[in-house]
Amino acid sequence: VSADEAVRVLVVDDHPVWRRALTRDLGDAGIEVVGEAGSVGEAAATARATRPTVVLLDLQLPDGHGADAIASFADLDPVPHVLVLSASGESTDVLAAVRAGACGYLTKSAQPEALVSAVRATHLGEPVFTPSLAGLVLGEFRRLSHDPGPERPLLTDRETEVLRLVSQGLNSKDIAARLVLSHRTVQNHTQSVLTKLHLHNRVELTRYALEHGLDQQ
Amino acid sequence: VNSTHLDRAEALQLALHRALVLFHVLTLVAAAVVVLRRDPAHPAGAWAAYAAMGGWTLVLARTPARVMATHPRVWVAAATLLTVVLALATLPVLGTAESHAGAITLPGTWGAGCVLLACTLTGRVIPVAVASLVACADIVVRGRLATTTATNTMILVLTALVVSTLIHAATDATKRLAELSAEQAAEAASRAERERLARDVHDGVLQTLAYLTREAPRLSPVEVQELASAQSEQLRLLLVSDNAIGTTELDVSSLVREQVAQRATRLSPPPQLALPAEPVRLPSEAATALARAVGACLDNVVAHAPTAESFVLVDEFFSNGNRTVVVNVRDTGPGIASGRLAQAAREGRLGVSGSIEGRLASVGGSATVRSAPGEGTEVELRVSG
Repeated sequence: VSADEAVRVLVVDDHPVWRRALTRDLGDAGIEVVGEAGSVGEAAATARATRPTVVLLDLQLPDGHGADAIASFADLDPVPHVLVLSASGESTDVLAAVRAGACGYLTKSAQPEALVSAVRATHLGEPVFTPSLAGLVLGEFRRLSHDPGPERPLLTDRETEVLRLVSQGLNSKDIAARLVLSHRTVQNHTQSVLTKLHLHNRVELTRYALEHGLDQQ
Repeated sequence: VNSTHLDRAEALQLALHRALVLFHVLTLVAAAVVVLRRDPAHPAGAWAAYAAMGGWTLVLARTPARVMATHPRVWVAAATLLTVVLALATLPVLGTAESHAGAITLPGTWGAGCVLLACTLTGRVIPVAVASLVACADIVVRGRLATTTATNTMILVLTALVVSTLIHAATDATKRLAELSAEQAAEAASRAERERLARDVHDGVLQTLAYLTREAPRLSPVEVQELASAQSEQLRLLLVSDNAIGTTELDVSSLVREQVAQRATRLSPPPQLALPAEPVRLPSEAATALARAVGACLDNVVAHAPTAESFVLVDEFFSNGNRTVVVNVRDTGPGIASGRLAQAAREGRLGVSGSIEGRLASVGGSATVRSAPGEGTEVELRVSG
């Protein structure tokens, strides 16, 4: 059984032309697109109806931010993995989406082959780190390291090292060779970086909810 | 009004004041010599008159022009009164007969001093009026209107007119000159700003537009979009730059973006930037040196590996309260054989050692190069801040 057979993609973008182009590129590579949506509201409803494993998500949507859509996927089964595909690359938008749970980020200028392999990796829950995303995440952890809070997430030295090499455009095979690690270990490190960020976000959201009495509703 | 204007106006006022004092001193000596050689009927009266004139001359010399300018009419009135009184005193001091016979008064040409004072301190009407008053006193002393007296009167009034006109012209010219230089300074500043914008727009936006014009048919729409969006970002940065003139700290990321944008048309594929979302601030000198060193690294990529992939990472480390900003520039080009850089430096080609290491050393930073043939080149630039 090839992994492709299980890949079910939902394309969320407010430009129909873009949705069509993405659907075509993925279809050419044998990946099934189960639905299209043009807004946060549509994305939530379509995801519920079509049960995608991967959501290809634009960030600027007419009725909200892509990060809001990610939150609405949390109670689905399976919870789809989110790959952000954004034109602006505005760093705060991308960070917000990654904190909210996105597994990766590509700019819309990415070549179709890069997109296809990123969708496959996302389907398997592997992070898709471009150098620019790795730089943002590295910066976010630097920022968090100054927080006084006890739950602040910290990267291990090894994770920092891996992330710095990803930022400089090395792939996991190169990194494994340079650090004398197995390919699998390098992937575990990048995975754990994202997991720490997602967990921290969840902790922050929970604390916010407790502080504001939202858990009683 | 700016300081240049004040400086120039003050300089003119000072020069006029000096000339006025000089006139008073010279004419005082001349008048005293002429009168005292004629054996006046009351020498003591003559000496007293010259003492008064000397005193007044001293007062004029010691009083700054701007102080007199605060009450111009009072000073002119005092000077005129003193001059008229001293002129009329010629009658008792020299004796009526001698006064009527001679063509002189006690103040003599010193009497024109109050007219000049009026010229420097007031408009054109008052000097003429003062000149007329002094001339009348002379006529009274002579007892009649002789030809010479009439000539003297005319000279005095005309002098008042001409000198006051000249002084006004000079003052106006000074003011205009000051306004002109203020305008010129403002114009030069706006021209410099325009040139800076033009340079930045040219380095980035125009270069990219030119490139698109030529290459667009061969580029994918996505590449066109990427180039265009990079430049719109660059224009936005230019217009709302955090790094405005006069700030003491600069964001290294913004400066690195500018360096990359300046070389956008010469590096294909464009360098991939890995930057934190928050600004990475350094003192402006260190930030500029670091960004220029990054630019020099990219120039090396342009020169030796223009089609290689390149990556720029801006990061910062904290250890024991010390902060270090680290920028990594990596390319996937042919790489450099070991010893090649040292050899280049020995041969006087200073690409890496001069424009990169030298720049960083000047702000207490350092650079390390890691490269091998076929493995690309990695430069790590560090500055503490």
